[in-house]
Amino acid sequence: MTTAYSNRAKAFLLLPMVVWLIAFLLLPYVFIFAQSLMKSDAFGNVVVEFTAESYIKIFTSKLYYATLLKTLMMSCLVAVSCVIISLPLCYFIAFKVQSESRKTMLYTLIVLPFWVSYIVRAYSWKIILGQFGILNGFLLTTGLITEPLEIILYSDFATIICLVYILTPFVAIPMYTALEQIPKSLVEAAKDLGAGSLTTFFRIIIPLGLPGIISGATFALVLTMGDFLAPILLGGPNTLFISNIVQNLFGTSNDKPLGSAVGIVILALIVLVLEVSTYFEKKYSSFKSS
Amino acid sequence: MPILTLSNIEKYYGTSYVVKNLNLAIEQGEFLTILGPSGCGKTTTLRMIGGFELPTSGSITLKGEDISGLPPYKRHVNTVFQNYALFPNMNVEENIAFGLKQKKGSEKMSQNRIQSRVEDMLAMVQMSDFRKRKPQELSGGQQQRIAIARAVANDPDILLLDEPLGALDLKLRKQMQIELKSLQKRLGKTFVYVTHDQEEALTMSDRIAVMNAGNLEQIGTSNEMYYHPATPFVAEFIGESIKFEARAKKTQNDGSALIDVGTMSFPISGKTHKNPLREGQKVVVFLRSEAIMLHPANTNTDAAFKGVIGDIIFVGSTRKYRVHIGNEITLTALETTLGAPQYAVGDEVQISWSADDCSVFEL
Amino acid sequence: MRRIFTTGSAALVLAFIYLPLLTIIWYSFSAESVNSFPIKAYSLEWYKVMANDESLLRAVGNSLRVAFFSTVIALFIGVPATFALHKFDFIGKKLLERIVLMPITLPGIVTGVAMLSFFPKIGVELSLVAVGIGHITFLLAIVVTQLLSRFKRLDPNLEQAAYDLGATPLTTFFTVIIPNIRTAIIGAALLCLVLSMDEIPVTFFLIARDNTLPIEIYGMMRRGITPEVNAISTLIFLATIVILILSLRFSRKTND
Ligand SMILES: Nc1ncnc2c1ncn2[C@@H]1O[C@H](COP(=O)(O)OP(=O)(O)O)[C@@H](O)[C@H]1O
Ligand SMILES: [Mg+2]
Repeated sequence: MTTAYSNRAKAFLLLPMVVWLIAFLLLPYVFIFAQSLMKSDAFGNVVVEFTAESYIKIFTSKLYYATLLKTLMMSCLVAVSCVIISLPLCYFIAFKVQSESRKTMLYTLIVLPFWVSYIVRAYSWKIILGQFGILNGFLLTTGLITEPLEIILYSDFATIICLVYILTPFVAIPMYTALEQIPKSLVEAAKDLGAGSLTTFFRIIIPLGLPGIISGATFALVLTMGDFLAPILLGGPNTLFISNIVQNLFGTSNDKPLGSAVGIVILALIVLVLEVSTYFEKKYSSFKSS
Repeated sequence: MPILTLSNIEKYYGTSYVVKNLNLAIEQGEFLTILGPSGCGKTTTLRMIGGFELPTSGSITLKGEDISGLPPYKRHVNTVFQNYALFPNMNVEENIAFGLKQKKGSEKMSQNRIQSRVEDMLAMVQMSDFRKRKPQELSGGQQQRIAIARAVANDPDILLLDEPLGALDLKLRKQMQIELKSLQKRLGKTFVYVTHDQEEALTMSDRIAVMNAGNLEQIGTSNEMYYHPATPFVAEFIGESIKFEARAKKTQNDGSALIDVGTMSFPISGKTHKNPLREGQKVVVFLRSEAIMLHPANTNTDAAFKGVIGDIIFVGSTRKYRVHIGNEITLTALETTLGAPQYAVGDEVQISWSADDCSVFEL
Repeated sequence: MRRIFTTGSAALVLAFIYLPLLTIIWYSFSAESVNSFPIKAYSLEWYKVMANDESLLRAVGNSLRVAFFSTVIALFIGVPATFALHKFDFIGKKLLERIVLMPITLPGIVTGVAMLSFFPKIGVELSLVAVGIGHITFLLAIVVTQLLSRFKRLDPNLEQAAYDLGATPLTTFFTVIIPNIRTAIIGAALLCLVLSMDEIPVTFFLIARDNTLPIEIYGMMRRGITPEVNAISTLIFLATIVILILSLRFSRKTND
């Protein structure tokens, strides 16, 4: 039926979005890529002169590469924590809850926080972890400590907990979808052949759910790598993620070429992570190849 | 002693029952088929034997031991699942070895023994060349073989099969029926086989258990099912019959009688019913298409009825005639196309059947 | 035993997800001026403070305006384009599909600084307008993903029947196709509203003096913990749930 539409009609439908994306998405990306290859003068003005200076700086100056590494490690930590936290819940809903309506209800409960404002969810941990917060109050009343702990809030720990909290739904959603797709008969077949719950879990459910787990973990990894708010809101003076560096370079430090370069490096890393994860998702997907 | 006994098994989901007061004794080495229409509780029964569902009440004993409460992985029973349930993350070999690797304690098998057992299984189902394939890379029939090999590998006391051929096309299904039956004979294993296909049940089984709406209607050999159905349901379900209501007359001590349908009547022998019939009793009569014989109108027979050919349907090597007798009865007769005289629509024919060849139940 | 373990750990995780949110709601009724535990007195004090906070109310207004206009424009640009993506094959289609998703696959901060650097060069000064343009750009990704899956489920015969009865492509688009995916469009619109209202990373870099709501709250949190944030957070949470229930309603109808 394609013939029913003239080329002009197609252009009419498609062109506004194409133009928009070029003007407001593609060109900005091209622009910072170009900017990352320039340098700035003493006043922070961008000097049009092509050089790889910024990139060299990133990979030779400890502040940059060490922060990059730390962010990567933190991201992995967050991703793994999210997986560990989501797995029991998703497994429970997918395999242990019998009634369909209860499944839907529980799944909705997982998805719901996904829609609640980032800032609100981050803020909740300030109340819980604060100097006079619930955790300290609780520890004081139980007599486990005598002075409120100040180091809980404003630390790497607080940042990680907050990110894990915020990103858990991102991990749980694809994970649940994957687990739910595993035919129940496979689980029964495993039991039929003499496998107990643990063997079934590790030999059947985990391998078959792997694509969903990978895709969830990738979400958490990528979103942590790009996060700069949690470290500001909950992190300590030394909690600095690579994105905070970008933010500073575009703000107080005012070195836009260097900031752009760091941004491009983050981008490249994320694209790499996404590619690797897509590769493994495909490799471990047992159902689609049939 | 039977190898497996189901005693007074009931299964309720909420307040509605799926299996009701089921008693079944299965003998060592027999091929028992549970046959019944879709939704009658066959799968549920099989799943209770396998341990995937617990009966609401009643007990299951395997080799004299009560296994009612045991989880599936502690029962010496294996299942060939309806859609095979082969593990897609494992290749053929790994699938077959899976159960063997689960054995623990004194039963634990060495790597070598597992390997040789897998070889034997692959050879048994003639799939040795496919050992490294993933299940998704096999055809339906090949997956079927692997599913059987995997279930047999553990050397279960009983093999449970839930409509294992349901997904295959007709030709392959026929071939697999023969293979399965000969495999069962070779292994000498007890098979409990579930199907809704009566032809399949009749060809393969030593005994058939017919279920209807959660009740066991009859259990017996193919012959018994076919020639001596115990209930109207079985008579109607097995084979192709016409059914009509009638009245019994002139009942004799040997059980024989005359059956009155409208203005016509025909004799029946004592073999066609269990309980003696009373004079004038209302009955329901089942008459198999295969039992009906047609004769050209001009031949000299003692046939009771005359009829007219309504229409003709070709079913492979047989012809199915629909024959009207007066306005009251329409029969279906099955005749082979070879040899027998052939009729055209509108032909007058004579119709007969033997006094043994129908089933009569009191109404 | 094992059953208790799985059920227990599932319950724990649910608690982890919901206790923090419930904490905010609980603390929003505290009468005290610090978030201390245990709460000694309850009141609606902080809701009153919030209702009189001029700059907060302005931020709410700004956010609503940005969300509304961004959503409308994203739909106007996105729905026809999604239809074209669904319907036609053209050179660069795969590329276009990838580009449109960039704002949700790539980190917001990079998109943010890219726009921050580029927009002034084409005369878009940092302002709520710039924020709106930024939002539209990532909302397009939402519109396209949400509606593409809906278009795929639309019976192609509907459209052919319309042509068969003599309708032009344009008439068909507006009288047959759009009405049939109406619920999906409404669902996508609600989603866009929520996402725009919550957006921070891009907004953060494009904002001038007029704050959006999350940026205003961010500022309040930076200045020190004020329990006023509890009250506004509670309201945001409730509003989100209402919108979510609405959008679930619509997406469910779509599936029927
Ligand atoms: N988990 C369940 N909950 C409620 N009803 C069920 C459940 N499983 C099966 N049934 C019902 O039990 C009846 C028998 O099912 P089944 O044993 O699968 O029949 P069959 O295998 O003979 O087709 C069906 O009517 C089915 O709807
Ligand atoms: Mg069944």
